Amino acid sequence: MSDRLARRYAILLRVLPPGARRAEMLGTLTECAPPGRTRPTLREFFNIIAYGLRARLGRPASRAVVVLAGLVAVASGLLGAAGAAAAGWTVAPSLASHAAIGTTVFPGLQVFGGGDSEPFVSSGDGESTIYGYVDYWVKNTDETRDVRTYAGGARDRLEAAGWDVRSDVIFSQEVASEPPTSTASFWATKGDLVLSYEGVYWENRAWYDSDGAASYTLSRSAPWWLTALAVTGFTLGALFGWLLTGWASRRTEQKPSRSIPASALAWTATLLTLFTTLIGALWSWNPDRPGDEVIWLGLHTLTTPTGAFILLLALTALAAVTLRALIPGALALVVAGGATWWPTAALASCTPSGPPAPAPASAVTHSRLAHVYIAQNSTTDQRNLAEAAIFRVWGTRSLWFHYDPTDPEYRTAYCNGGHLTTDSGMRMPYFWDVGLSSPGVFPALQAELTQMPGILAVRQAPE
Amino acid sequence: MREPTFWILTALAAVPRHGYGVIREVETLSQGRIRLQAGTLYAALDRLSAEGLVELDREETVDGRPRRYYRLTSSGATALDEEATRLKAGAEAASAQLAARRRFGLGLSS
Repeated sequence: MSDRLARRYAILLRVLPPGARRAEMLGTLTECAPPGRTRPTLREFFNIIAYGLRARLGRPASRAVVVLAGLVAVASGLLGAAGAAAAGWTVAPSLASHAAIGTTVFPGLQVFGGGDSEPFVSSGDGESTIYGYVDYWVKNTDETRDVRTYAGGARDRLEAAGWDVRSDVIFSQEVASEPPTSTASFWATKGDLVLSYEGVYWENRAWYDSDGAASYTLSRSAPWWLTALAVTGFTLGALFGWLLTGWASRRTEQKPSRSIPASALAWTATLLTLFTTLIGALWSWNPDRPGDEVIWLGLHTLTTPTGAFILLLALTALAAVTLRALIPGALALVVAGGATWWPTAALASCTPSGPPAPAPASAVTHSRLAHVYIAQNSTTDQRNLAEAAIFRVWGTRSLWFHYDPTDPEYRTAYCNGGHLTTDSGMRMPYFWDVGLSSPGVFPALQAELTQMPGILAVRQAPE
Repeated sequence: MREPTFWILTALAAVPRHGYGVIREVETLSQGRIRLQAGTLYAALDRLSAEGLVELDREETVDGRPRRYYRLTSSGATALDEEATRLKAGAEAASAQLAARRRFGLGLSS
């Protein structure tokens, strides 16, 4: 038996909870070791780690505690991965620097759109979460109205430029619909970028309506380092969850009045985490996209209020173990609550004199909301034409007209959410609340509308 | 009862032993077939203590290291006795069936 071996065993035995067992087991291990051995065998190594992790849970005769600790480890691993991924996505590469792709897809045509997007946004119908994307499009020409041929050409040009085309061109034509519609789509990837192409042609449209567009959206794929970050987050989270369960289990071993509520809460929080991740992933999963998105969408679900609720449950479980454990959590809640409440309290009322000045660029970089202001004395024709113009912009998703000064939207449009004093709203221009597909659609909206009669201002508004 | 547990109880049946003593005795009794890992042994000892089948006998210090001796409790002896009876019944049943097989003229290897 060498001193070096004993030292190595001693280091390994720190995986056991502190106590006399470490020294006792060191004696047994060194007695078992044949002369000349200088390091633990692989089998010993894993056996000691497994025993140490088990011993940290206490309750040697219980199997339920092992199952709970395992599930808690998975759940807290997911929370750790979700936290790491959320932090990683905030520094994910910008989508703004890819305008050159437009020349490849639409050579010789004027390309609209661009800009950047947040990593995750809600889908058009608000039902699910999707990867943030930016829109690029051209107004239909004779060439692009043949949607199938043009999509085929775009696909070939992308392939020649090194893109990996991931699907056939899917063409559909609805002749019996109003208007008759032809669409052609495909998707492709290159590096960390995902491109979804869609060409649309609506027939028999009025002169003031758009007859569709050839378009594509660009979104990110998780870069490799994000995977590494999430795996690290998972490992640390899982280890933390296991050790925390062990701590709680040993502390409440002889106290059923504490261990029953604590474990019931822990089971709830754990199952909620697993279900939230699973449902979040499957709910938003789109099979016509890279396969790893299902994981990131699942992790993203945990950063929503459900995640906060889970943490609250976990905190309550710890409170059931010992009230002292609640103190750091309660402090964090107070700080978080204060931070949320503070800006709301600062909302001041105002007396607007007309459409607001453009918001600072930093406040609207990722905003998909615009306000179009039109004079109160504009004619019905002018309003109808303006509405048609708003819908001619390919990325327009929704449109609401506001003309009632008591409408809460007046506060957002004119007063940063504060009240409008006395009757000042009565004299303010009417406006549309325009939902955009992506933030970069705004310049096209502005270009389409600014010169129209009756239009007073077009502003991108903070969401 | 799993096999390591059975052998640990067996090793402690006659006299109290410390960890290394149990490992060595199990190896001898099983004719070298079972060589317990320290982690497996202590996990089983923790569990058996919690179930009241094994308890601490005494503690000594040898070469500056604590050495704890464990002994079988009376309920541990009962549990081991029941297990031994069960295994014996199982072994007898198997032997009887194998004897019948031989009577039909079938060997042990086909």
